[in-house]
Amino acid sequence: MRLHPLSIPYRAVAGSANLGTLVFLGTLIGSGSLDPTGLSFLGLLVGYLVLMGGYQVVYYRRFEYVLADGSLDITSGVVSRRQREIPLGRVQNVDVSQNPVQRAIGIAAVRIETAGGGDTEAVLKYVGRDRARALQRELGGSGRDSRDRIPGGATDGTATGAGQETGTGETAGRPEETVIFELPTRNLALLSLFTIDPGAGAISSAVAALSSGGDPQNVFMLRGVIDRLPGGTLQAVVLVVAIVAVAAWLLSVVLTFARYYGFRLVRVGDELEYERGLLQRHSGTIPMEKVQTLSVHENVLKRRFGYATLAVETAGYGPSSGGGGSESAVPLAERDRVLSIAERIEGVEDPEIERPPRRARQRYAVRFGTAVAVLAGVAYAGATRVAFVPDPGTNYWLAVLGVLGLALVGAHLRWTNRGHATTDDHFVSRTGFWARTTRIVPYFRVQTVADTRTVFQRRRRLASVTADTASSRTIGGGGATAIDVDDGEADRLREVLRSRLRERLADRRIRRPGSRRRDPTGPGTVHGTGDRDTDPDVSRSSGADVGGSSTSDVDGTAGADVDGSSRSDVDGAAGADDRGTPWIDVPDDGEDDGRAEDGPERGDLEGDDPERGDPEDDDGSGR
Amino acid sequence: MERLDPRVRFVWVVGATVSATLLGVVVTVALRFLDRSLLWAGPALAAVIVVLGGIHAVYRYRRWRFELEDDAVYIERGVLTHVRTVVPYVRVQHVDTQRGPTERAVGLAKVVVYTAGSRQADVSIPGLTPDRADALQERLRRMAIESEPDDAV
Repeated sequence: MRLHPLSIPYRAVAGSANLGTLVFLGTLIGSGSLDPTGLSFLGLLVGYLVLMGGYQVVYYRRFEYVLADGSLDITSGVVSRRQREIPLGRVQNVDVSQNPVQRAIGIAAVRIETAGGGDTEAVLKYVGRDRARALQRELGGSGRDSRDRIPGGATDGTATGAGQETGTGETAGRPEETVIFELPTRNLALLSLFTIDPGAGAISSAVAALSSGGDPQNVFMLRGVIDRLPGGTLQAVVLVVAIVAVAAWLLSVVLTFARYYGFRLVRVGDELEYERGLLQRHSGTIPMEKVQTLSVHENVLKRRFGYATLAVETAGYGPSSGGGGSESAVPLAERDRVLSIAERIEGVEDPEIERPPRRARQRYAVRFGTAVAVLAGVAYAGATRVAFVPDPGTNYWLAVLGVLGLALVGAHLRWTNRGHATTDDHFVSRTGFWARTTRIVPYFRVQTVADTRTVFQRRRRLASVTADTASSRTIGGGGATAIDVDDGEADRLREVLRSRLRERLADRRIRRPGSRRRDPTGPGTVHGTGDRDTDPDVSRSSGADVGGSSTSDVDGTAGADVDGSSRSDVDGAAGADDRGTPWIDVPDDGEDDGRAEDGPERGDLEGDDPERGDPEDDDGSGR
Repeated sequence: MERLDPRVRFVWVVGATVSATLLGVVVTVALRFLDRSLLWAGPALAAVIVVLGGIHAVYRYRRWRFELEDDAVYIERGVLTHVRTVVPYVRVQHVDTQRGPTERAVGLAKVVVYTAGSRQADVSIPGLTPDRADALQERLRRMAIESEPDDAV
């Protein structure tokens, strides 16, 4: 398949209309060496467009992609040819975006993310809108066998069951779509008003700096206004900062509004699909079986009004989310609603959060208090000794006392908003007062468990326990950390996480039909055949249940083999690889997934051998 | 629980010395331009870092422990911050052995265990003899393979 023909002119123009070229042209024209009205300029322009156009035509003709046999093969490149094969099993997210121009001409960009964070694995610029949606379906998982493993360092071929996608595509057509959440306008307004977009702050500061032309009071060229206002330098500085902040906020409002306009979250088969955007339209897939961590964000304002945000983290890089690996599943909704959606996605009930012991509160009080005291002392010494400001006298110290009081309140607030919980299937941690974040990690997603004790924690018999996951979220890390828990509790948590991980993995292994144990020394033996027949409903039930009891869909009957079978990988180098992604049995109501008796066997992950006719094949041939 | 080879302390001290030297050079060069009378500060700083590094290395060696348990690798380490890490075999992606120049000179190796985690993605066990490192790598590989429970039914 090829890209959309309109991508040729679009790429030719859009590629050149970037900042660098414009600046270059701008300087040339500005300095007089290039006359925009002259024939030579026109000639140059035409020549350039012809060249660019020619290049894009060649690019178009050399760009081919094929979706077959369990992988997406892309051949591209004008000067240096490149061939890339992406096993469908490795695909984490498929993101489709369209800016207004692209929408007008009907093309879209498709970005395919795989696990391991980092860059987008493949980008198709540009395909037709319908084709983009179709690709999203087929690559995303509703059309394919959602068996997947997230490979780690080893990039051995991991394909999903090949026959699957075509099979389902033909028989089931498009699986039923259940709308989980649509962002009401009111929420969108609130979200825009109350979200601080970090990018907006940076942009605002940059623009302020550039527009001031070096004069700090001339930000946004408002010198005239600032000069007229009463007060001295201090007031002017405060005012400037306030102006920049307000500008940042306004920009943030606009950006957030444009970003989340028309947000919709639907569930299609095993996947969550979201759509959003005013100018730049994004749509992406969040495969349920790839969800590593859920996080609920409730900053102070949201808490006050009873709202919350739900974000879903996968192991793939999320280009549209900016933070990497994390995507808003519910940008803003009432807290109860958010929790119930979280339950639908991950089966997590509202956990009972255990606070850290009181000693922890003392610790924060001491910490904040010391910080205040030190700062006050330094400020005092600095002002009186260095800057020779006259001694401020008792007022200053009273003010310091006041701030100390605030510090104590702060310590208490930090303590009340911190905690952890261990439910049947999830490990939950919560922290933060201004931006309270509750992170929910299913036990079977836990990678490593670590507990740390700093010197100060040791003195108070406290510890912090972290359950790491494969989520590729860059800021804040992937897993969940229970901060400042009691020493003994930390030990217990470590053991609980470890044993529950084991148990859940074992559960998933058992539920998977046809799971067999691999004999590392010889050709694989299949015990599976019988199992598959005896437990057909366990795995199949997940198939039938598309929209209904979502909890059982994802977690329970997913019958996923998280990675036990991957363990049986004979080729040691790759080791275990799956990050615990369950192999959700094909949600195609009971029909054979076209694979051999060994069922959803890891063997199928071998990229080169998707149609395993005989079970003996899994002697690690592909791995 | 297993401990590291005592020679690893030497490796750590050498590491500290290298950093100290670099820092000392940088500081000395900077001071040359700023205030020549303080020129002694560079080497002094370097010496302090080496001494601290040495002390740290000793304590670090004392704290380092690891064990291959039934289902995971358990590691205890850390001087100022005590860290205890559990790496389940099922989560092991692959295992490397690494030998830096100092390690090679002293005759040691390091085993690095990679997982898919985002924070503690790779866990390393330094200060192993090459044989021990190879054996550990092999054992981890086997444990990882066999970590599927015996009875899948």
